[in-house]
Amino acid sequence: MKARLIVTVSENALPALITVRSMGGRLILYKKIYQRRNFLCFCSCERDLIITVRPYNADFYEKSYFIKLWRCPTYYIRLDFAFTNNSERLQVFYLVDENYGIPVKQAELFFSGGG
Amino acid sequence: MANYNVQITNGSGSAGMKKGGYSVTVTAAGYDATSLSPSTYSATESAGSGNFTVSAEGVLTLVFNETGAEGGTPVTSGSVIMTDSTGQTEYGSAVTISATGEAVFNNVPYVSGAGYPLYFVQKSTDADHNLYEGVISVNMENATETQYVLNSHIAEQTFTLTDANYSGLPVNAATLVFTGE
Repeated sequence: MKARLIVTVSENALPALITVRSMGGRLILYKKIYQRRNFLCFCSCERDLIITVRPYNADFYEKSYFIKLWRCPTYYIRLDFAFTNNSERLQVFYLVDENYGIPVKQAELFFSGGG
Repeated sequence: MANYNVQITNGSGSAGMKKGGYSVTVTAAGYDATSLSPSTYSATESAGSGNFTVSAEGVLTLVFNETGAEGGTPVTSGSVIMTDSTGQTEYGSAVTISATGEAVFNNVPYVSGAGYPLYFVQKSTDADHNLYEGVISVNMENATETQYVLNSHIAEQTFTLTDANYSGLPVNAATLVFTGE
C-alpha cells in the first residue's frame, strides 16, 4: 500500500528529522531531514506505524504519532507537529530597597546555573 | 548551564529563562551587593516572578530649623517620611524629628559623585513653626549627609473685632476661635 503524508512542523523547530518506523520500531521505512512544509510519500506493507519528528534544535524533544493503516491502497494523512520553545519562560523580577521598599533605580541581576 | 543578565529599571525587569535553579548576584549603584536577598532563584516550566531586596548603608540627617541652614533655631518635634518624587507615594515608616530638630534616615542609598536622589515630605512640626510645604529633595553623594530644611517661625497675627452696625465700636470682650483646615 502507499501512504501519502502531509506533515507540518512549527517553524521554530525546523530543520527536523522525520522517521517512519514499523510499530516494533525495527523497520525504518522513511527517513528524511525536513526543512520546510512538505509532502512525504512512501510505500509500506506495514500497517502499524510510528512517525517521529525530531527537531535539530536541542531545546525541543522529539514527538511521535502512532497510526494504523487499514485496508486501503492509498492514505492521505495530515499530521501537525507543533513545537513550543519549552526551554524558556518569561520571568519577571522586582528589586526594592530592603529598608524602605523603594524600587531600586538601576541595577543588574545575574543568574547563573539552570538549564 | 544557562546564564542570564537581567536589567532592572525602577524596580523591575524580565527575561525568558530556562527552568532550573540559579544563583543570583546583583550590581546596583548605591547599594551593598552582598545584601541581596534571596541569593537563589528557581525557574519552572511556567512563567514566573521573583522578588528581591537589597540594602544600602548611607545615613541622612534632615535638620528642620528656622533658617534652613546650619545654626538656625531648630524645631522640637514633628515627623517626616520618605516618598517618591511627587510626594504622593510614601515609603517605609515616618521618622520622628527630635527635640534638636533632627530626623535620621539610616540605610539609604548613596553614589559618590553622581549622587542618588531621595525625596521626603514633612508630616508635622511643633506648634511654633510652619510645616515645610512640598517635597524635600536630597541627592545622596556621600555615606553621611546632612541637609537643612526650613520651618519658619509662626508669625504673630493681629485681629480686631468691631461692631458691625456702629463702625469702629470695639467689641468689649470676645474670643475668636480659629480651627485648622
